[in-house]
Amino acid sequence: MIRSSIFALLILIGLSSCATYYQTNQKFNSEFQQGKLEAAEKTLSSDKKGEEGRNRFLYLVNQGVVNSMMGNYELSNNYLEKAYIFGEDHRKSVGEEALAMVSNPMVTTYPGEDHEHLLILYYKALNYMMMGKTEQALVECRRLDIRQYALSDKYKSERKYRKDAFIHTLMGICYDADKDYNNAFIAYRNAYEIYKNDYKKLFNIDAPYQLKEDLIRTALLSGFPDEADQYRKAFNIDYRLPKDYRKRAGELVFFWNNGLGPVKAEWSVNFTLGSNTGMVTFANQDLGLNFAFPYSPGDNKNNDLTDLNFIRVAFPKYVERPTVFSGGTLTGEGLNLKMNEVEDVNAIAFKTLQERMLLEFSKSLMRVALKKAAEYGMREQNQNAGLALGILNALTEKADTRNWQTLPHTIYYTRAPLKSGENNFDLQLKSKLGAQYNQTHHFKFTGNPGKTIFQSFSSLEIDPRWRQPGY
Amino acid sequence: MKLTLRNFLFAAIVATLAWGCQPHTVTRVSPDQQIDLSGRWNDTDSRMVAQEMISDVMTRPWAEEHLKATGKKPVVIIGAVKNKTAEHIDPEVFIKDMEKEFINSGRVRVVQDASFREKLREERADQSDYASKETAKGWGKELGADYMMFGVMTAVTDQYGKKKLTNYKVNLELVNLETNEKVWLNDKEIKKYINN
Repeated sequence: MIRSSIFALLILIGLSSCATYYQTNQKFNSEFQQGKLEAAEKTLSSDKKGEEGRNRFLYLVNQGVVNSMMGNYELSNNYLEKAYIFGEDHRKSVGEEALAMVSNPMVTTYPGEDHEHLLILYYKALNYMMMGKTEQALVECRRLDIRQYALSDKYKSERKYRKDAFIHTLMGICYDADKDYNNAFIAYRNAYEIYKNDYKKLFNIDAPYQLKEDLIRTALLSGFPDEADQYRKAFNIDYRLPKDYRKRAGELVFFWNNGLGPVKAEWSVNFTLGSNTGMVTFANQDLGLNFAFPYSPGDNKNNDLTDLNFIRVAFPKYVERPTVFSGGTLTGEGLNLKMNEVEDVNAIAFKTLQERMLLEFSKSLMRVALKKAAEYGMREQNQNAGLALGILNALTEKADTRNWQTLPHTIYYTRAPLKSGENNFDLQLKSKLGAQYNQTHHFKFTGNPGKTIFQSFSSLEIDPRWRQPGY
Repeated sequence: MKLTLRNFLFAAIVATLAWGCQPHTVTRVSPDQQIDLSGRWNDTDSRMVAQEMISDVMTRPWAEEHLKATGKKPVVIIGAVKNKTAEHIDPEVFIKDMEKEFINSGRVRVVQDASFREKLREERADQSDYASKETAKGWGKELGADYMMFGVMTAVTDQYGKKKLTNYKVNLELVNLETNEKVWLNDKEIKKYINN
């Protein structure tokens, strides 16, 4: 009795050591979070499987983000294009799926989450805009449009994440920079509708002020004064187009990627039951639960260690990495512009997983049921071998903890008019952890008449109190 | 066959795998073939609008009347076709079809729109610096348009549950640039019922 209980305990301890995807990439994650981008890129490139392995999507998008932040926009887009093509062509492999059924889903090729496939094109479009290649950025916008439709066709329920307001805003911004005000207006209007109808309910995010102003402006520039009036009244914004708008100096669109998105971890339910112990042990590390309660095996007279059953079911979950900064302001040239929250990547990640949790449950339970069936089959031949397989099954049980972990937590943006020549701006970041965490970053921009320039800034800081999930 | 747990699991896994692993196929089809997938605006709609508008505009008397009055073929510029729908529709698809039909009819002359004229002027400016005097093209010889075509696309969508009705409407009009007189106008509606 004591021996078997100790044995069961050892097994549970053994199960606790299953590393998540985040933990297996600790070196890269640590370098990236500290902003040591060159070191992070080197670590990433040292991955021998890289573009070929089953985590190729994550390799490509991580390379895309790191190189974009290093200013290697061409190279970044080469990686992101491969990730985009992967998303277009990827089909599940029968062999991998079958293997996953008898081990765990980490053995399959990671397909990428819906929002991750959309955000590839955010980085691509932004990279092109940073290079001043508007036409290429618009290609990414058209791709975004197609992917948007695919997403809204995939899910029918209004209560699901099926339309992305930020992506429509981004499309509007790109068309706007290309002076295609008609398409910009359509994109902004669609974005506004999604904020109003979906985002408010799903993520408690309102349409950003900047979007409202851009919507009125592009309505006027498209020759739709009635629509402009209608939105002026709806938003209570008295925006008037400057008389020399089309001729005046350029504009700046500033994106701020705040913090880092969530990481995936796992939570599991473990059972140990056996007639010899007379107990059933139920354990869940996530909730810190460990219950043992009496179990009556009925007329089973066996009192053997081999009667022990180990059942472990693992499920994925997201763990938020809380941000350090709660907001930002772009100041300079007589302007004081609040950075507008436009996409809560963290909330979207949680939502997408929550939406398909039923599917995750059924997949995990099916997997465990199959493993158990194999174990019982083995027990009929040989009890000891059956026990060994049961333990092995419990040990190999893992949830899929892979996700794109270099994405930001939240994306903000604002638009600023530029005067001809040099313009000086400060991005002031306000921390919720105290004034000592506040930051100011200085930027210089050259304004050219009629040109829109883009700038992106990433704060990689995470709340220092955050601890990585230790399972 | 006896339904055991193992048989059931085996069947369930095979079904899951078969469901998740549809083969990827590509088939070439005729560009004229009507294939509707999502119910949104597509190439067939563009073609239908172009055909309807062209067949109408070429049979109306405005071009002949212009020829009689001035002794010259009318010069047309196709301007903006504004899109007020919720979709990113490229009206260039049917604009190009209409330009082609105007030119091929031999009864109407077509000039470039504003953005392309700027590019042509840049080229002429470049020629005045770098091309020989004999081949460089001179200024002030552009063909002025007599008529301009404008348009607007709208869409009204009605949705209830899984049923969706979208009514696309394309309005086009031809205006005399000198007198502002509308000499031709037409519209084409395409109504689509989608049951998801």
